[in-house]
Amino acid sequence: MLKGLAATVLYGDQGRNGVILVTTKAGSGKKKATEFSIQQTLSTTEIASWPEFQRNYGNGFQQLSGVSPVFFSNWGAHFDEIDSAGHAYQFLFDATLRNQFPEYFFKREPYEAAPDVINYFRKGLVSNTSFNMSGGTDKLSYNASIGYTSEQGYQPGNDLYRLNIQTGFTAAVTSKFTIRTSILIAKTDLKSPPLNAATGGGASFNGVPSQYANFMYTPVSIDLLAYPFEAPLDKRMVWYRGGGDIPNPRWIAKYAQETDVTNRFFNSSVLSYDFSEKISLAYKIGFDTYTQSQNRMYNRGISPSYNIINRGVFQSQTLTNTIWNHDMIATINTNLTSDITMLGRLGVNARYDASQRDGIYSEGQVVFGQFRHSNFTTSSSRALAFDSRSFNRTTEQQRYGIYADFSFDYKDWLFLNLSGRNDWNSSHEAAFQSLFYPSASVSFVPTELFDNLKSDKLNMLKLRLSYGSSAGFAPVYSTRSVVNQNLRGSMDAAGLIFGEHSVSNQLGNTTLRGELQTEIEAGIEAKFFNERLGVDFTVYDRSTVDLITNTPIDPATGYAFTFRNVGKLSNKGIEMGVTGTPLKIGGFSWDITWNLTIVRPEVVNLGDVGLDRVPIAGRASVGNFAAPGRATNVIVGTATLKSPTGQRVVGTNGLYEQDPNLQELGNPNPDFLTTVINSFNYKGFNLNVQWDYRAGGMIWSSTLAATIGRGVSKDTDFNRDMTFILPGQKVVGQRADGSSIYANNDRQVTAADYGFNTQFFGYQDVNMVDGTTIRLREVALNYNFPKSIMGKTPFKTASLGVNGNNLWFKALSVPEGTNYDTEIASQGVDNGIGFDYLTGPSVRRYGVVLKLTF
Amino acid sequence: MKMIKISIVFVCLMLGASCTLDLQQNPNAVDPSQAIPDLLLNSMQRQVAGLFSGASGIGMGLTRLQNSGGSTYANTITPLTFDGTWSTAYAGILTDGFTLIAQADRDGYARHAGMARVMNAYVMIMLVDMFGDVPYTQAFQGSTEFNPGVDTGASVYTVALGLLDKGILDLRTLASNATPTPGYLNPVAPPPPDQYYYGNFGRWVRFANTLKLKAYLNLRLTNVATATAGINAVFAEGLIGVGVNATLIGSTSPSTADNFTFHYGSNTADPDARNPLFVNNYPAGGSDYMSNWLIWQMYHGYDAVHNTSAGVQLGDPRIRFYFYRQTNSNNTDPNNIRCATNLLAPPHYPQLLSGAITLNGPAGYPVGIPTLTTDEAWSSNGVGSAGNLPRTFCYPTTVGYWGRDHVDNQGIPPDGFLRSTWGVYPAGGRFDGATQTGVSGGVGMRGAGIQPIMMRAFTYFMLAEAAHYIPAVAAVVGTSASNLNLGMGASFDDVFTFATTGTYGVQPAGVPEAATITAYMTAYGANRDAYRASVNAAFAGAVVVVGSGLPQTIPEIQMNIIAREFWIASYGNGVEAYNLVRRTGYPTGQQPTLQATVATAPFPRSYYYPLSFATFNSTVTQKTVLSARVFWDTNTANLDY
Repeated sequence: MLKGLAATVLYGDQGRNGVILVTTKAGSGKKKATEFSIQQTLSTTEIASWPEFQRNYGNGFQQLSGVSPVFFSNWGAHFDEIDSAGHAYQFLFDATLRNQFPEYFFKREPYEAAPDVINYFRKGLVSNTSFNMSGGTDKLSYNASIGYTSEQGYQPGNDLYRLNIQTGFTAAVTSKFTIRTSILIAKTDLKSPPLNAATGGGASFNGVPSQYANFMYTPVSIDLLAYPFEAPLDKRMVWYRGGGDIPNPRWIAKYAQETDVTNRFFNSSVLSYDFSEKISLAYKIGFDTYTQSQNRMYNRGISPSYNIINRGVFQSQTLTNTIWNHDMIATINTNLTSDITMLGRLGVNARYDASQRDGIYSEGQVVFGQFRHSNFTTSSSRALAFDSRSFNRTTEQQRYGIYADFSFDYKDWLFLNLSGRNDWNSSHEAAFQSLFYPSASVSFVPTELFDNLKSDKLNMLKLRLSYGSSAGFAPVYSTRSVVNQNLRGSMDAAGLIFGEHSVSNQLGNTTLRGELQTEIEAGIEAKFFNERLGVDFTVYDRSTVDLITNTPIDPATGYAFTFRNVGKLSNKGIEMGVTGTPLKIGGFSWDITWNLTIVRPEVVNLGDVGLDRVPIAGRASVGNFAAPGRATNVIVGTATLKSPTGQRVVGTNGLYEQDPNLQELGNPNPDFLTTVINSFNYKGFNLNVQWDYRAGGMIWSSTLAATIGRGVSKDTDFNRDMTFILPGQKVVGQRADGSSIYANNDRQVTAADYGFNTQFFGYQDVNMVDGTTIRLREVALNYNFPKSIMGKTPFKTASLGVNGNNLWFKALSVPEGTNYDTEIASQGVDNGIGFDYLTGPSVRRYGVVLKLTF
Repeated sequence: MKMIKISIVFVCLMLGASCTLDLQQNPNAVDPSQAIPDLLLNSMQRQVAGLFSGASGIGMGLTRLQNSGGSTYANTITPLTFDGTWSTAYAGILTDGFTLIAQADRDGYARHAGMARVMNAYVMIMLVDMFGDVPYTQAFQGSTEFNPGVDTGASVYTVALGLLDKGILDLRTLASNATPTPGYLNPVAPPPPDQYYYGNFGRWVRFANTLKLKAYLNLRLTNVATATAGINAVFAEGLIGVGVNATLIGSTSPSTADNFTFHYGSNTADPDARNPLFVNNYPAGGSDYMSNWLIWQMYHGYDAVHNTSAGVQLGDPRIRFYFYRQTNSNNTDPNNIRCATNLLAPPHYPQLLSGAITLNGPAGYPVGIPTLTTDEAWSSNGVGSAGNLPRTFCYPTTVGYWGRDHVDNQGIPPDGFLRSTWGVYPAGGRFDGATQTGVSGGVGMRGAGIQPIMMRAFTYFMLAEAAHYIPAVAAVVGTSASNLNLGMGASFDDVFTFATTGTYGVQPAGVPEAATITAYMTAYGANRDAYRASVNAAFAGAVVVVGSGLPQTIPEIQMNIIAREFWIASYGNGVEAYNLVRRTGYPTGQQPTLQATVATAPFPRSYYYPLSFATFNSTVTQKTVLSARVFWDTNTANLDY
């Protein structure tokens, strides 16, 4: 892994977020005996962040539980107050559904807490097998590996299979000419129930059902596993809401599925010729193509609330992505003087990306369970139930780059690197296609220069200073405006169809420039006390100028969005790593690694945009924004009105009032992240224990809003017969100048008003929570069998390990009963930062690893 | 550089594929130069209906034609509410329209240009009426002006009236005996696709003139001379439902077919062609709440005791067309209807009385509700102990009508298949034949409803108002009394015609319940005439009732009656109703907000600027108060309740 911009000149703009070099193994060119290795991993996953539910109040609202348990929320009567209630299925509104359940017509259910819905999940199981062999002759070496993973998700209906086959050869054709090639074939087969964003009131945004949309606030008095989820006659979804507006998660898991089969082929070949000891020329060619076949399959009858999907929907789509990458690289490796060595590279790169998407969408399923487009009444080339996009789409992008990279080494104590690259990218108009970005770095090792500096106490000292830069280019087709076409725009009562052209709301930006990232970094690295203590300290300032982002613009311009260069962002940061060995006695050693990361992302200015802030991600009511002088991605959204003293304003109904303007709600960037790893070694045993701490970083959480606002979390197990007074102020009059007079709020509201109308149905500011978390990230115990034992077996080495991941965590600022994991926020459905859209709990993993070589 | 180019060419040759960097043209969409006028026009026509639908919903909520969400006016009308409106208007209709107009003027597609100009004018007037000062001269310039400043509402009105004039000239190039010399009509220009009038351009001219009538009527308060001249001029040239002027608009006589309505279909897939009111309230149960106040006005406001005599149930017969009841009895489960356990009206209700009109009360009972200071002014139903008709709270009737009181945002109980919902008009739902069955996607007109954007009845009510205030207009357009009578007649006819034929004669539609409706009309047809007669009588015989809470002069009482009829007839059109209420302050005595209206959240005299406008445009200063008025609103009536 290469980090930092200075290291990524060779990889162009694609490498600016760090480069993970997949150096496909291709043998070493030395004669080598064939070696085999096998690794087998087995692990199991379970839910880690599951709320503790209260067990005293059931389905309902305002402590009423009437004739039937049919509310979304769990603010009903206390279980002691009512003995039984009519079964929910006798209150289904649709008689054709209700009549399929005659057994419930007069059935009464005890009004009590049902078993926890966590019982719905199954044990997740992951098995990973990999086999590797390598060897060679003096002219040819080879490597081959096969890996197979099968994963049964903890979520019923979620399975994954992956097969990788990789082969590599290196052939020394002559003493100067070498061919190295590797081929990777991979197949991934994923299926899952639909997971989409939700905010606690059902699936949100695009109106596509989601497994977890309503799951975590299943009322305490409703027994998910005991109630039927499908109608016996027509297999329609059935669940406790009379109108069927909450799909039963068991039905979704069984009858709604999204699948993705990916076939990838990746070939990389290098032809290199050594003209002399010092000069060589290499031609690299990479061909990477993958095809994804994706299906979205929804049987009919999920819920009348999903207008289209309820009719049964089948979408199949194929995406093909192809990358051709060519590099011609000349390498010079020479001693300029006896003290200075130089490694120089000059290269030319051409990269061509092409993608193609095709598909068909059908709705109106006839025979239940069958997913063939012929089994649907209407087919279209657009995804009508989802985003209405047209499947048929092709893109092309061409990049050229030239680069030079020179490294100098003076007597092993002074190192200098100078490099630069110029890229041309077809995403921009001709005048803006070219961008040059240079880098330079110097490092100085005083312990090599001054012999007397080096001692038992100070083993090594290294200072680094570097300047790096990199480019970023726009997505394809963002420079020119287009007209959208929909030839089935509307249809009148007589069936006449009206096709439409409409000027796209996306404004092309013909003067869009590439963005430039620069980074200044200084570091110090030292080792002390016979290398028992090591320190690595880095400070950096990484900034992005002319950041390209698709910004909303005032529709009065005639357009709603355009890609713009919006100014300058800065990331100032510190990274520190300390490694130490406090104890080393005989065969026992105790190592500690401590890492600390502090980053301060900030928006320096918004360039010529001329606005106070621009949204970067999210929705109009709440999202990540860029505002000068504020942290990057600061969360802005609708908020409770505040009085002049900064207190929340309560209205005449005892609930909070809304501020008509958006307010800044919090900074999603953590104050710092730190990790401590304790490692214990004794003979063949190795025990690793990793603790993480995240300080701060605000999260907008739908999970919390839903579990508290809906009255299911243990935190809502207070005496609900009392009244509640929201903290804040109320308006008690007006002054002559029209300003309001405030007094402390004393208006009483009910438990349901407090919980539902404030926590869930309130404004976005009440959904914000501080993300400070302590976490036991990993405990791993590994044992390497000693050679004495291995000698008696056919194996060369063997090791056996057990490990546990995400074993324990505690978010310090969240309500206790929610057991909320701040990391599920990072699994957000959109590209926002600090958002949790109810996409499911986090998991804990336990595993066993066996490694054998022979 | 030479080396670089040679290197690149070398690599390209190796590649054997595309070597060009000229890849900016998006192959997946249509280039603006290839846009087709017919298709741009179709997009505009559908979007006009969509824009209207959104704006109408807000306006209906404020004017008690349907329930309004939010717990206060400030929570109902937030800047976020209007992002869709703003985007559809500016980035959608107007941009498509001006793109089309430029192309059509150049190529001689005069009729396309005419329709586009009329629709753009409609949208611009609507924007001013909603928001006040809005961008025009600096708008539509893409990256040339990212921050277009606002023009005054008055100047945007002038631009819109100019667009209508030019649009009329464009449209009249079709008239067989066109006398003016409008633009250039290329003989090869195809007839434009027309989802409103199906190719009758005389009716487009009527619509354009009616928009001018609407604009001039709004100017009545600030510029009576312009209003007078303008209204008299357009009356002579032909309006929706008014005038025969072969020279100007061809020989089409005024009829129900003049109504400017968007026609939905019942197709469910590709496209879902149904009225959004139907889609949102039928397949999965009701999602909008109906207005208790409108239900009460239609059920009791005409007939205090709601007599059933000789098999004839009195009351406004349109009620069965406007609303569909899923149950005929009042539900008493507090889990379904929260106020069931507390029928006392909120304490601020009686204190906020100004009279509401009621008709046909018990003998000696005045037109209007007396000012009472006790709870008696508000009860769930029936006649109060003093023989007075109280207004409504919670249950508007005893027969299952189920809506919400004004500005009620309590949590949603599971009542989607119990509450009253949209009926056959204008949603294309089901006629209320007292069947007591829950809604579903397959009943009634299955969504083939309309958007009543500009109806004949509105023309008459607008003329009645103009005639009422301006004698010089009355001299030309007829008295307010006669126009009031025409308006009521047109409203009844158009509601019934739609429900029994599914259309106004321009395109056939399926009407599954026509027989049921015809039978109902046979039984209750007399109500319609009785209704008109009693309104006309109340209007003609208006007397001041001291202490009634009603206006205290005869002209005010009469205008109150005109406005009440306009208000009921405008069901489905919150755009015109909201203008009416702001312009006249009538009808009086409407139901107050459920939580007392406070000074910080008054009745919106205009809307906040949309969030997208206020946030992304550096020239914008968001309004600080909802009481900010649009330029034509100098009406002093207090609407803050």
